[in-house]
Amino acid sequence: MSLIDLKKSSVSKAKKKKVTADEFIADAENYAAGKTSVVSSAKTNLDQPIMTKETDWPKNQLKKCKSTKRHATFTLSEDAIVQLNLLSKESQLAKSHIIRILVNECCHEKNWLYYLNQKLIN
Amino acid sequence: MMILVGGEKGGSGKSCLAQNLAVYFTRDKNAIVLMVDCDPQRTTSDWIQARNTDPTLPAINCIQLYGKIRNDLLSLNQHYDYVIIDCGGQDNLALRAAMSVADHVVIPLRPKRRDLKTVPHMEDMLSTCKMVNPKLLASFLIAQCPALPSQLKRINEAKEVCSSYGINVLNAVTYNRNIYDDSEEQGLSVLELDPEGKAALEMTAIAEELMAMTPDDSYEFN
Repeated sequence: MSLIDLKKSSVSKAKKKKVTADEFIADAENYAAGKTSVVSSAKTNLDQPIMTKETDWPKNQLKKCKSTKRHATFTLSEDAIVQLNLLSKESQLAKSHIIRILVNECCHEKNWLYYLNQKLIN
Repeated sequence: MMILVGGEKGGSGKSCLAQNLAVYFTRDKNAIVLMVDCDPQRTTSDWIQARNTDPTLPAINCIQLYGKIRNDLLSLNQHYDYVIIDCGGQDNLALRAAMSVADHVVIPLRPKRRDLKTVPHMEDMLSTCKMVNPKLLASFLIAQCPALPSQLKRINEAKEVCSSYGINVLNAVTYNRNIYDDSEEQGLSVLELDPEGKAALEMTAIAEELMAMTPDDSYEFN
């Protein structure tokens, strides 16, 4: 079997975040723990809508990219559905994308459980 | 000069390469060499122990260091002509610390899919490291190649895969030879066991290719 399909498929260079030597070294522990690593270029930035057209993707990447997300079903209240529709209309983002942003923000809170409880109280 | 032999893949011949480079610089360049064994498997430390039982062999010092070893390495580098670091097959604190101060990093990979799949992460790591260590020269080495002529295509493909990530790939390769194992058992290098043999020529070619590289001072790989 040929090894050629392992060649780098994209030549675009994402700008690396500046790090100090100590940060670079300590980051090995993030990598070992499966957390987001400063050296990783495969990080998804959920703050920016992804507008790439599928037709722009290389054929061999299309299948892979499609598999990075999957369908999930949740139960929402009528109010939440109306609010989500409104948010989607005003931001021009897909509803799923808005949910991903909110989940991501919540997870970046240091004490995410406390953060969620505070939201429930308010 | 500090030379790191590392990578994320186990069993690709890192310790073997580090040991043979250490003997090359000691024997052929009359240099004072220190080996730093960062691999908890202690392959290099055991090899040095076997070597020290034969007083006719030129002595090579070896120490074991783990964790955040950046300052230790900078200090040791002042007392030796060559510091050769053997890091085990995983991305850990010692590998990154050594990478942040090394002049050369050599990453041996077999021409196998499982080895080549580590290249994207190594490229991410190396390009980030360049920001903190602009003098770093990084090279992939295609190691333990099958000797059958029909497998030449596979070796060239492996080189092509590594090159596509913008990191240098050494022209020299190593082939799967029993002499590498036989020499290690006795605390020897292939340069000592069979100085005129093919394996000795492979190791000499690698060392000479590394030494012929132009020093770098850039924050990115070209």
